[in-house]
Amino acid sequence: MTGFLSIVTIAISVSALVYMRATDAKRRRVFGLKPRPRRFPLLVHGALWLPAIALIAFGNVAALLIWMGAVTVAGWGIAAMTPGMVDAASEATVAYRAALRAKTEHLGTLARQAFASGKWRLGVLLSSEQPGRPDDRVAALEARIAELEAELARRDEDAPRPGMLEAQGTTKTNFVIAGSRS
Amino acid sequence: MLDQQRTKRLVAVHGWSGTVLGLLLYAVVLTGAVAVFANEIGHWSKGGGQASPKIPGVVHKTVMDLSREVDPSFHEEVSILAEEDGNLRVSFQRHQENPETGRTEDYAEIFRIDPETGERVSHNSVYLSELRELDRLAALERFLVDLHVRLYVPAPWGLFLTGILGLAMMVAAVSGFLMHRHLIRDIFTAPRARGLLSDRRDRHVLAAAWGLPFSILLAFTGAFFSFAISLGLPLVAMVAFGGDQQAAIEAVLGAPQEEQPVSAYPASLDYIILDSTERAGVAPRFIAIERFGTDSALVSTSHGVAEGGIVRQTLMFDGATRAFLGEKPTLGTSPSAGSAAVSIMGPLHFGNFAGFASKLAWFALGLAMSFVIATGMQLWVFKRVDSAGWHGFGRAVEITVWGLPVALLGCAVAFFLTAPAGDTYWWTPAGFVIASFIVIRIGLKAANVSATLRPIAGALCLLLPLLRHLTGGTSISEAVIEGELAVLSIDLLLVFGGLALLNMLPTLRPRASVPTPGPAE
Repeated sequence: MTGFLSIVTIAISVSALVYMRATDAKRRRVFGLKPRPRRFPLLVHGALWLPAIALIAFGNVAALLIWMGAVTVAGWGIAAMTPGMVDAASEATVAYRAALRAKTEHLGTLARQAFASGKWRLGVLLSSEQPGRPDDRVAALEARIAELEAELARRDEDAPRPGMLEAQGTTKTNFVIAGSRS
Repeated sequence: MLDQQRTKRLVAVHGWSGTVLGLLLYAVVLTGAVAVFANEIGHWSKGGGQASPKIPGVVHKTVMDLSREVDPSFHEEVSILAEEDGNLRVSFQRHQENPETGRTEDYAEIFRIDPETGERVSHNSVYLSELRELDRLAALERFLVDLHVRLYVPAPWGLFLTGILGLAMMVAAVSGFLMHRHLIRDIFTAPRARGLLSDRRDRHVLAAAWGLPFSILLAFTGAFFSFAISLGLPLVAMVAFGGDQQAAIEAVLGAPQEEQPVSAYPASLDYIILDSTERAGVAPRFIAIERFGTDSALVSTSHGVAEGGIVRQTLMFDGATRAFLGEKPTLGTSPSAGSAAVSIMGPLHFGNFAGFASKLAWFALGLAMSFVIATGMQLWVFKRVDSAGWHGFGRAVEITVWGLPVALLGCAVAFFLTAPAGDTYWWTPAGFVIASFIVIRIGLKAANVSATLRPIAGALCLLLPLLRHLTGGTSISEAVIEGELAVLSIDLLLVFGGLALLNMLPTLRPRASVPTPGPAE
């Protein structure tokens, strides 16, 4: 229970710290970023401190101390990241997600192929017919290659391109705007 | 708001308090961070062990049978300990003169029992001071703890030294807090990397600002533990008891009682275990029975930490009637605020109150503190880069910062190489000394100390799990099957640390398009 409570409360407070970093006026000024007002400041401070108050209310001193230690270290790590590192991290996350999606799709394709192949073999077995002539198999292979090429082209269109982030209005946009202004 | 003159004085106090003892302070803090995992390192080096062993509910018959085997003079104190390897250690001890030391010591008949089968695993007759030598595979964890507690300096000077270091850490932390005017406003301001000096200052200030509460807490509790035994008790004895240490000890721990006639019916230990488990919320790990088998027998049961708590409980029972006598205070004979304060010092300093989770948090805090000390010393030297007198100190800082981890890994290498047959209690510190000499030699010749020592540390990190396995340690598959989390976690931590030190892990490289940071305020 202590471990579970610690993880949940740390996650809530760390999320609040990440948002506080993104909207910290001094940090944005020092790094030449466009000011970003902090919305619902009471809610943000609540998310930071309420987990500790809840742990005190529950009387779980162990989880409270773990929360204090972990938030201290995590807070340092969060604050120590420069905007450039934050951007790199968010881009790496986007790239990782895209790679994961591609991998999942690839596995799906392989599974479909294995299923189709098995069905074909099963069909051959059940119908006791001879396998198709070489000409038929070459034609089937060519059709499959065309299908895969179409799939590849579609994926290329879906993949994020340089500059896409700016268009989407992420933190990078702020950089570009701030950079061009200065 | 402090005026300029006071701020200048505080900067001097802060800098000199950290610099004069900085190298030793770094050694104590870094070894302290590692020593948080002392138990786990013990399990890792032995190949496994239970994280929180408990005495099983049925031991009364075993203890009574064993008590009949030993001479009644050994009934002065009987203890039962659940060992980490799953066995029960039942000790019967008496006081007698040790011919080797010429002092009166505890001499014990020690039986190790398999609690499941009731079979006797071993039987030794030893002085308790020699007991640790029997467990050769505990040498690594004990060396790390000794290095942290007293820097391997003979008692009581080692404790004095670490106590003073704790106070120096407190002075540095408090003066740093006072002289930093924008602590809260700068709490999210990352290092700006405009120039090497400001970058170093930003790194030091940011880490110190976040770690400030725990720096003060860990420094205070550490200094307390160092001074309480080495200086506190003799001082109290001198001031309040006219120099009579025995009277002081009796006032703190209670006076021994006169021995009573032998009781025909000693209380059932099994009942006491059941009762104490219900009261404490967790089964006992250690039971001590004073004046065993007499009408004045006193049974103390020591328990682990209950869910959500941080303090270990010790309960007392009448050894003849099994009546519950109350909770044993840490200090004195009755509950007090002082006793309560002392009882929370341990968990707050060691971080051992909630298993692996709390230890991980305390380990990270220790590393963060080490980072603050190292960057502080580097900053101090960097500011005096034009002064030739500080160049030697600058090199000493670099050698200590990177050399100490290498020496610690070196002592672990020496431990594993000698574990199958050698004297681990000699070779583990010897390995540390040899590694230190090699590191100092390399560091004195290297053009870039960190670039030279960092890959060595990384390679040693990767070597240790392999060496542990090759010298007969538990394999990964065995550890997985037997659920030896300590073995798996430390192997994983070493591999991860090794890859990071060798720059083989992906890192976040800041984008080139980041705007130039603005001036600091």
